[in-house]
Amino acid sequence: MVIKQSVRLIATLIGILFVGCLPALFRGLNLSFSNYFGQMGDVLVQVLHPGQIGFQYEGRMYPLFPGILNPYFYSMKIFFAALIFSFLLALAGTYITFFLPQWLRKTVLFLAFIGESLPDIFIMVVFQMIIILIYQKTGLLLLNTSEGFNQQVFFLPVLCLSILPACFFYRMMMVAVGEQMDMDYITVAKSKGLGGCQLLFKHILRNIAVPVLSYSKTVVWMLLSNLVILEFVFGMQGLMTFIYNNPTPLVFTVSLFLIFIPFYFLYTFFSILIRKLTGRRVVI
Amino acid sequence: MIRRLMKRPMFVIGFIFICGLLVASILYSLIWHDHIPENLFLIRNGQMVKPAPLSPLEAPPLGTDMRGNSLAAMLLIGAKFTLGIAFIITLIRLSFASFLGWIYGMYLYRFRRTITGLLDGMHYIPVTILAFVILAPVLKPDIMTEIYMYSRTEREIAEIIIIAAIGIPVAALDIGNLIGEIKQRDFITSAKVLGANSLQIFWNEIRPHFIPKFSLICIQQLIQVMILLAHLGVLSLFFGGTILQGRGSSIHSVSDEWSGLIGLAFQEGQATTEPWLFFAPVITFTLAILAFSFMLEDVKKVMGERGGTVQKKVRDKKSAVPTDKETNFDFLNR
Repeated sequence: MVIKQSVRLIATLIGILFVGCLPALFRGLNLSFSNYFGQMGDVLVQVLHPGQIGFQYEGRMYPLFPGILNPYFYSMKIFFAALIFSFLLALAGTYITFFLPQWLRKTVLFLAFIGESLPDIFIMVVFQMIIILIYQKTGLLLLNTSEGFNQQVFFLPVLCLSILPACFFYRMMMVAVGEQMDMDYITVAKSKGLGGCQLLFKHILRNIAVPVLSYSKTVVWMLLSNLVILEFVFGMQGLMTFIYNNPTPLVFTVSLFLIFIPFYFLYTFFSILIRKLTGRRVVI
Repeated sequence: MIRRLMKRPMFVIGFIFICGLLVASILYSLIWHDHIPENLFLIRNGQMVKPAPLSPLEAPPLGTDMRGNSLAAMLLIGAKFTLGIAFIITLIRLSFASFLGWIYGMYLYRFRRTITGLLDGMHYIPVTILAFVILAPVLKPDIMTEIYMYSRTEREIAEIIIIAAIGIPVAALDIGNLIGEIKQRDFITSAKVLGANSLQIFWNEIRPHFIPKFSLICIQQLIQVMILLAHLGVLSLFFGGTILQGRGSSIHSVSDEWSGLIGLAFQEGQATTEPWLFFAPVITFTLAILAFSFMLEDVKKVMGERGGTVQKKVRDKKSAVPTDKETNFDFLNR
């Protein structure tokens, strides 16, 4: 188990290294494999001595650590807050939907489908516009739309980022819960007199955990791209802006490693948790 | 499958929207030769009232940009470029991915753990920033001299190939898993026992199950490519290159392609005073994405209903059985 896990981890890290050094493969329009592999070795050596990596800012060299950590933690804070918030939103939505009449349920599902299909750019533009309109009408600045000199905006980006994944999770969970509802154990549980709340959170949630977690990978992948645009539009000093300002293979690869680490621990933790809870061995 | 799709309202709406947009865009360039009406000033009763940008009410239908160009005309002209580029990129991406996925699914499916592990990292790489990091040196001119390293055709081809290439690994993995999954079903073993070689297995047994799901992947990839193009536009990397004007302050797209218009809106749009600069390109783009999503949704539903093309053949055979029982045979023990 441990050996298999570590082989997988090393394979993934190598995969990230290969992708992270891709910018070095292109010398303008020509492919230069010697440059590519040279850069890869270079990055590998430098990553092993993280204290000595530097990056350029306004023509001067600064050490990458801790220079990158502040934007990194900021980005991850927003990202995970959005992820958790959207998941809770979808869970609450799923719970409420089962009390709705049939026709309303269909309408809500269709709205979620539309929400899921909207491009993130549209949502961000609408969000900014709404905040500005409220400000113009009432003089009440709900939240800072763009980052000021020394403050980090938090709630608006999280809200903005979590709309799309909430729709994704909601639609996915509606399908998964609908499947579970037809199963025999639900009938048994209902006949024993368990309430909807207990049913959903204790029994169904445990059974849909595996499909939801594997689906969450796709959501995370999409959400990371959205984060790039979000940071750009809101002028946030996050990790993506950091890469945007320093588009070198080294900074890029280190950032990718940094993004990967928390997810690796998270998914490993969840697969252990699922094994403890359901007895099923899963690799997410 | 296509016949059944044509009866689906959402698929038809999406299809007509995309086709209508393409046809209108091509007709516009054939008849009016991509002429963009200019309204530098709002003129009422022979007097200049207001300089550009004009709002949709002052210069219908969608208003004008900072330079007085009609946004509607620019969006219409750009439609064929944007959709065309997205189609070409998807085509290149999927043809390579299909080939690699076919090899992986048919012959290397045993090693799926290692291969999945290698490509697992792709889930944590924001595609937008990856594309940006690779494309920025190619598409942006030198900051000091404002001279491009490459010609416009070279830049366009490079952008198409690079955007297509960065999606190939994940798409190939998806396609390969699809093929590998079908290959493990029981009827494949029967076909092997009957002496089919791997090409016959692929063409006769796997293909009918594979095509419906493949059509799903096609539309998904198309949507992803379009969103990636728009994202690059926001990061001010426009298709065909970014033109810097003045001291790097003002930028401007070479073609009237949508990502350029969206990016431009984000660069110079004043959200408070000129909201249409944002909304015209962003909403047009959103509508196109929605049209594709509508089509995708109905393809999914049609597949879920009767399991794609395979079961249709079975149904046809059933209906071919004569129903007029009494004239053909008699019951022996009645």
